[in-house]
Amino acid sequence: MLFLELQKIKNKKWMFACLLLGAVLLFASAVSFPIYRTAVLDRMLDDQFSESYTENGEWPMQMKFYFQVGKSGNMSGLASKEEGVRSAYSSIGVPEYRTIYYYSTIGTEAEPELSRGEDAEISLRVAMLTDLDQHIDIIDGTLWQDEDPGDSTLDVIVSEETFLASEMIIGDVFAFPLLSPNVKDPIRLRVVGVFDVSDPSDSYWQKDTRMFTNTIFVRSDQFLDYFVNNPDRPKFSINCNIYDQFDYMSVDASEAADISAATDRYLNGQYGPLTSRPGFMDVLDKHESSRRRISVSLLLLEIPLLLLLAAFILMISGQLYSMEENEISMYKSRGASSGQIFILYLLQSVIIAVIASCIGVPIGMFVCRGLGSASSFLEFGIRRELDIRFTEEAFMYALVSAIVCIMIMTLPSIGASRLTIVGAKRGGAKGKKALWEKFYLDFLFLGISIYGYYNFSHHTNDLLESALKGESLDPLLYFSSSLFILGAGMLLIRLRPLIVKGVFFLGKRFFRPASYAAMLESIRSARSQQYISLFVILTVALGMFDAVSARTILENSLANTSYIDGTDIRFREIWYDNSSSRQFDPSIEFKYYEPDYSDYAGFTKFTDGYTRVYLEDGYLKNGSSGRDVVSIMGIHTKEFGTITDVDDSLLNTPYRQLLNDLALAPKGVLLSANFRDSMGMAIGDRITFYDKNSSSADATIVGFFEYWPGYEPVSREINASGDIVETSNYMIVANYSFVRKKFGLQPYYVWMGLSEGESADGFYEWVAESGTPLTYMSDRTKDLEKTVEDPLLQGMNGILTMSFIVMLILCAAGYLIYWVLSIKAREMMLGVLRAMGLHSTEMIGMLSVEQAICGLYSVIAGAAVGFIAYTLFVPMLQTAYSSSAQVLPLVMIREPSDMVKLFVSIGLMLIVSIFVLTIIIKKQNMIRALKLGEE
Amino acid sequence: MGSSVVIKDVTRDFQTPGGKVSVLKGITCSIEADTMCILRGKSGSGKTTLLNMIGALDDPTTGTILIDGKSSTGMSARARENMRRRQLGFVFQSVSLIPSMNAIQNVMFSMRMAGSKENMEKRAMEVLSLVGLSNRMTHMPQEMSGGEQQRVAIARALAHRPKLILADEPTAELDSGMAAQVTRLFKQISEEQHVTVIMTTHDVGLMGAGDQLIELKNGRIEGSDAAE
Repeated sequence: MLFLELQKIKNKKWMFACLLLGAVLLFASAVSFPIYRTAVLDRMLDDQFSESYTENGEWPMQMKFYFQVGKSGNMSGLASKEEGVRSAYSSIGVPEYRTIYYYSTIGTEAEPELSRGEDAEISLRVAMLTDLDQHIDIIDGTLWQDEDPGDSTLDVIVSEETFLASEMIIGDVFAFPLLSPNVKDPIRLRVVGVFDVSDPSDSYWQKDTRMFTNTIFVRSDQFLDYFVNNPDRPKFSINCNIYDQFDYMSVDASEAADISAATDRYLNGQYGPLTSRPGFMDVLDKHESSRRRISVSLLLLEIPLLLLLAAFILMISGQLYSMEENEISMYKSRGASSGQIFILYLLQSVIIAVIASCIGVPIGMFVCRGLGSASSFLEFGIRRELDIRFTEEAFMYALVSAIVCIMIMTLPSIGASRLTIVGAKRGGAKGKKALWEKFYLDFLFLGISIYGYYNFSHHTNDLLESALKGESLDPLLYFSSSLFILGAGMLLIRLRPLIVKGVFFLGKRFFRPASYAAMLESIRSARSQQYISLFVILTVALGMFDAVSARTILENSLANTSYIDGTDIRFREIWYDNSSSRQFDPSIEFKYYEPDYSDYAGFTKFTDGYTRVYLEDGYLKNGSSGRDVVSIMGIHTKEFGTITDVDDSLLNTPYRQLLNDLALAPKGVLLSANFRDSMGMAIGDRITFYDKNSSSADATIVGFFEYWPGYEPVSREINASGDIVETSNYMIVANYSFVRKKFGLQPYYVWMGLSEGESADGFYEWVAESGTPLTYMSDRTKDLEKTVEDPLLQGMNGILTMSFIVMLILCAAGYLIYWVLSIKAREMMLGVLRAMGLHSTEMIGMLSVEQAICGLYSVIAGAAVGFIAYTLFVPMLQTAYSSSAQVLPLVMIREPSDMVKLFVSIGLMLIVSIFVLTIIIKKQNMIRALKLGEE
Repeated sequence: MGSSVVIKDVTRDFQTPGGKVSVLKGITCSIEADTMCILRGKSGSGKTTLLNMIGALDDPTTGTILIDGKSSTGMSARARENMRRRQLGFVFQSVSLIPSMNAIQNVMFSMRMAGSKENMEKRAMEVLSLVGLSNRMTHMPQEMSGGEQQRVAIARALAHRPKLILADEPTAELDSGMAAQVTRLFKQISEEQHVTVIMTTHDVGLMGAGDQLIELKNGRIEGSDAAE
């Protein structure tokens, strides 16, 4: 049987190659989804942890435990508590990265051997910090000795802060009678070194400034021997701080929910009271919410592709089956049972599925790398690679794909389906209507999709709400657009014969023989071409829809990020003030020390300009006691205008004109338009506004703006009851000199616009070289990169791109095989035409006209459907994908290059098809063709 | 007036994996204009090969074929195609109608190919009436019987007023009654429309139907007689 099957495959190698192609693509697509999703979610979790690390300056996944022991002298509880703290790793299920023990005595009297005078009282804490010596630099003296000193004097090291505050010197010895078993012979500690932290950003260090204050550090083993485990120790408390640092890099995104639940259980357990809710729970919860949204959204995007692949396999296997009907009847006539024939086809399906899985799974993994670099539709520009690995979930997907694939391929053999690309020719010739045509599924799909459109267009707030809540995309929204494309595509296929008949009727007198024959052939074979036409229409329409969706969602997000940032780089240095001097003399007026602005002169090498921007919250008085919070921005209009821009289409008054109006009015202000609308203000009105210190400024309104660099007119939030709450944000823009005069010297931001082709590297080098401490920094290039790498956006770009490429392959393969089989089936008729004197060029012309009617019509129909689909549905999809950060109005983006790529791809497919058919026609032997009819 | 056909020392060899096969081995004969010639022979005798060469579908290995005194063997492919579409009419053994066209469209198609200036519809109706299918004009090929289809094929071969009709086993798939009817139709056309008809057949019963009988055996003419 196997030999028979292999022979069969050999004899119909092109059909089997096509079937294999569909199966390979099914495996690759199915497997790539979980692999890609896992990789992108893992990266997202890593990013979320890294973000938390950057924001909080602490190891992003750690639990802090605090408890006291020894107050009663009994230390027996320590071991069990330590054990309980350590059990957090196993309970939560994340491996240990590092556990840091910081134990200290309470502050206690230290008697220096070197007298400090009569009044000098020194209180010190003796402490241990595990692995301290590996994270510090000794800046004076030495580190403690490794061996125990013979004279019962322990070596200690101290921070510079303690060293100076306690006026210590290297070699100072302190006695601690209250901590010693024998007061007369107290434990003595000798200061042998002063340390500074090697790297303040080291995750070893905790944000606990008291850690080094009045604290002296002794070797951990000595601390335990002398102050904890010493059976003769007096009664004093030990403060125990234990930091469990988890190896967050080993956490898979799929484990996030389990870890979160396990942490909850741990917190509610015996040792929960020793700690508080760790910060990583917020990271995990946020991740879980994003994970659900991303998983569902990506799956929704992938489903149409998987269905198309399944349909493709079904069609090809149906065709294969119809080609083999004679063979099957021959087997039956020779005594083969239906069961045996079924097993033969099952065997065939298993062979194909096994081969396809061997090829498809590696391709799927390769595809994931491509998806991971998708920066837009059909663009691959992200260099940050994903960690692609074959997961257990991917194996399950592969297994399910194999079962589905085998079922689909075996299905036609039991006569369950006759749907084929080419096999429908027969049905068409017999005048049989396809099921969808008979049951008017095109009208049904269109009806459902239009219902969906009206439903969503009247409830855009619901979409926004669910997007803001981080809920997953409403499946009906995505299906509405898909159903519309499918329904409209089928309707246009239904209309095609009518249109062709109309054209034929009007032009039949003028057609040359080749066109005449082609038109009639197209009318006759309209039904057999339905499936391939639908593939072309879907490829074009979905391609256009996907391109515009991906481009619109991405470009709007990028434009929004760019707008919110306002310019390329914004930073603020640490501003020092005279508050320390005022502690001694409150009569001194408070003032800031302005950083040296001339330090920025070097920026001119890589920027178009840089400028001071005052940006602080202030207020306006509203009635007798009310206040309206307002953002106050002070700018140098000329410099600001050089490095910022706002699209004039967003403004009632052009941006440059607003800047000019402000420049011409030193005491003028520009107000946000929502201010005008709510307060009923007009140009020329005077207003008084206040900074946070209640210094006031009187100004004249010179203009209003709807949008301004970095300005968010409305912020949206979900309140406790789950409703969207919109808050209007007000803004006043004034001249910097005016603000400074009224509010005094205040810390300002520096905004700079990079020159064409320059990166922010120059700025980073300046920061590194000058050691300038910054309190705020934003880099538009990085923010834009972050936007592009957003898992949802990137996943959407990747899957839409992959879908389009796969559809193009399916479409090309299906189209070509349809035409090759069509030519083969018409070989005798074409021979007759050649015998009647039809030139070979006319023959190619005839087939080209047929292709134009089938292919070109489908392309045009697809383009029309695609255009209507994206016009109707993309705004809704965009709303569903938008975030609370979306400020600018949504603009539909149709990138011409996307359309060029799309139509060039489709055009190439048609050209290749005509080229292959030309070769077949050229190779066709007329006499052999005529003989076919005699066989 | 129909075409005269002169065949001089025509041979046709084919290269096969088993070596050279000579299908025609020096055929010489002539067919007068406005006559109906029956080419008879068993399967493999070379009659279809000879007919293909007369119809400029194939070239002889040696020898010449003159149609109205002009040799088709030296013509360019385009000239031969033009000759086929204007001067010749073909009827094949199997049903050779274009399945996407109905009876009248099939007939008009040959006129369209020949660039006929006549009122195509009128002429098509005329020839379809001639073959007895005036009531089947708008029927599609698959809606007609084999005999009816073959008669449409004859009407198509005739519609553009060719000088020579080449019919390769047109009766092979028909019952004897229908075969005799089709053969009589060819004879009638030859006489009334002034067309030369060359028809191949292996049916002994039809041998007397033509004006001339050429019998082929193993690539040679076994006998050539004018019919009584």
